[in-house]
Amino acid sequence: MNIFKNLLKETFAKTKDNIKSSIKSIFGDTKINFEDLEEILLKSDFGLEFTEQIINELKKTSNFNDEKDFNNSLKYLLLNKINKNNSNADLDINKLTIIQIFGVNGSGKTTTIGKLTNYYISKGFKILIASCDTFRAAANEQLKKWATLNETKIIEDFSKDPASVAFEAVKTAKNEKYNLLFIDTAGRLHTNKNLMLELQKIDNVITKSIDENILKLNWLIVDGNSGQNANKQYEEFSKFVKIDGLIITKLDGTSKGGSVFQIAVNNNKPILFLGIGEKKDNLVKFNPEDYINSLLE
Amino acid sequence: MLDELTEKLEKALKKITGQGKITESNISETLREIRRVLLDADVNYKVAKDFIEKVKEKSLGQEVINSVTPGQLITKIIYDELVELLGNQSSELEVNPNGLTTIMLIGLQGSGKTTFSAKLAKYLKNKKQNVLLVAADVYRPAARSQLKILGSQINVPVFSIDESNDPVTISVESLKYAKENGLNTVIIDTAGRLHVDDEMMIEAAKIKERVKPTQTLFVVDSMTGQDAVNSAKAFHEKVDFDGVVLTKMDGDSRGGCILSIRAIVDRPVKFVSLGEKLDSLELFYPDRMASRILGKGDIVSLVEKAQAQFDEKEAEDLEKKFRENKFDLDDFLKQIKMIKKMGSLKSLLGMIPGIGSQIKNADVDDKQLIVVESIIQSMTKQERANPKILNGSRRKRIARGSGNTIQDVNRLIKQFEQMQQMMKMLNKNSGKFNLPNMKNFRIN
Repeated sequence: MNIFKNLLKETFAKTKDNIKSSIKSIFGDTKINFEDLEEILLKSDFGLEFTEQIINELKKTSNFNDEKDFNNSLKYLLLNKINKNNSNADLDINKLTIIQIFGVNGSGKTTTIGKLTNYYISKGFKILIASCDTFRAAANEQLKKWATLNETKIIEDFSKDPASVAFEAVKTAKNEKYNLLFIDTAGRLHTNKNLMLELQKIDNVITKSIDENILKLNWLIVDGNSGQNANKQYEEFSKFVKIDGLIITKLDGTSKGGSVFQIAVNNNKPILFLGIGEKKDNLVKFNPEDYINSLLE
Repeated sequence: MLDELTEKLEKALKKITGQGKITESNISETLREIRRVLLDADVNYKVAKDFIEKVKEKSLGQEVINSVTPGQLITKIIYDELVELLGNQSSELEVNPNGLTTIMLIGLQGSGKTTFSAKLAKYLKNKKQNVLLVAADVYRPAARSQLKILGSQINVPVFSIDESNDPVTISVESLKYAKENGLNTVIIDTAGRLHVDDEMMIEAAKIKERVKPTQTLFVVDSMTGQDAVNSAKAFHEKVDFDGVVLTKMDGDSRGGCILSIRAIVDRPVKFVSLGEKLDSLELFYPDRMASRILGKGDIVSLVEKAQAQFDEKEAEDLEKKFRENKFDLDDFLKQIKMIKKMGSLKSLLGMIPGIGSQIKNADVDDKQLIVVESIIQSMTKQERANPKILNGSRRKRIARGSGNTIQDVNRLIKQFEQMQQMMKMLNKNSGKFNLPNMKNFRIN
């Protein structure tokens, strides 16, 4: 946990300073300037609607004596909103879990799978990876390099459609007693109906080929740099497939991932992991309290 | 593209349309609404603030002339401000007329550099340039293979030194290779990097220093939020670039980061990239984009796009056939091929004024074009020239041959007949042939 805190603190160093000093300046005037708070939240991609909601609730809920008071109320408010149940990242090693990974182009799906594989290998899982991105040039090679790095087996077949590759992979995972199967899908814009239907088809094929002893999870990958379009991404993807959890990537820059936080709150979905770099161990399990603390402390 | 922003602005503007004159009170709600529109569109909060201030300043000082409504007046002011913010004039890619043109691409991870580099290569190749793609991303697994595959798809050579992990050396060597092989345009695809990663930023600056590119382009995902200004600023300060490329514009992102980046860093947007097809690339025209944002459509770029693709002679022949009512399925097939060359149907429809917002939810399926194509291609010459002879057994054969159902074939023939009918009427009415209205040109 300490490692997580440190990583996150480092990662969010800039944000933290930003919010901290801004909150100080709010109190510098001895009266609370909610416009400044609005600015801070907007800058973190929390979005106008969500920001206004937070400010309104904050106005209603408390009287603030000082900065600390204000800080705590804000923290408590955010913490109360976020879904804290990310147990769906704690997988049962005694049965097979199938995790389907999807998201828009360039959100970091393949890299995240590489890092997730490393994470679960360290917990003793026997992992199989299915390369169902039969569209992007060299996508399977990228995945293969990750698989080699992690010494995991990979199922691929360029001559087949993604759903058939998924089907093959599920069969192999069952027969060869794997604990965990990652399905890597091609990046697709949520506005492209044909590609969304393709994803749905992969999803259906997997669902049909499993029984109650196998757990299937769908994780949406969202770029931490995304703005309000992330809402649309969530909305559209969830029309075609059930979403069980979210992963925010690329949080090692100056972006704060506020748009994903907002999605998680609005749809009551857990954020499972944060991606904070390109190395295989640059993935941390999401801890709501630490995340919010790092944002606001 | 951007149709949602358009929709929202339209709504906000309606509130003041029809009112007598611009006053502080009747403009304040509109401005608040516009601020909301801009923020929802991911325009940086400060940029939005400045924008609103400017519009307010200009609006309040304005006399409302009888012939215009306050709504029209503010539309004009917002439009002018938008155009100014977007950069006044369109900006072509600079080339080195007497020697080697080098273009270096930089940006964050996943912004779409590699796909864009292939698109740009294809674009320049179509302009009769001899292009070389350079695989200078030595970090992302298989980035080089991705570029090689894309290069082979568009028949553009890809320079790579697979055993080297030094992007500077690779880039420098690529210039030599280009000169030795008579290539005049080099596109260097660098690795995605975070603007806070000093080491990587220094590396990019080093490549730039050694290569001295004619143009350095900063590639940005149009879905980027508030942080766009930070990364753009850092890339500008640490590496510097000549222009911006906006990618993934075929999604429904409101693209507000265009406004932000332009406001923070004074560099023009050079290209807009939409779709995964390697020819879905457009130049960026600020005035048209502003029009589009305000819901005026973009008939100009539609026309230009059509002009570029339609062979004049072919069009003349076609026109003659239309007039003489000799338009057959072979001509129909030719037309479909031209439309396909022009880009996706949805992006074409989006450019027609007034229907941008209407078709937002409509399913315009480019695959239908392929179905139609395959059906016609399964017909004999005779059948194409004279669809009347298509009886039941012929239709059955065509359906089987093209892998479609008989219903598909029937529908196509029926639509073709309707189109002929329509042409007949058009000819009767005007005697002059115009491009068939795309709205009636339904395929599914």
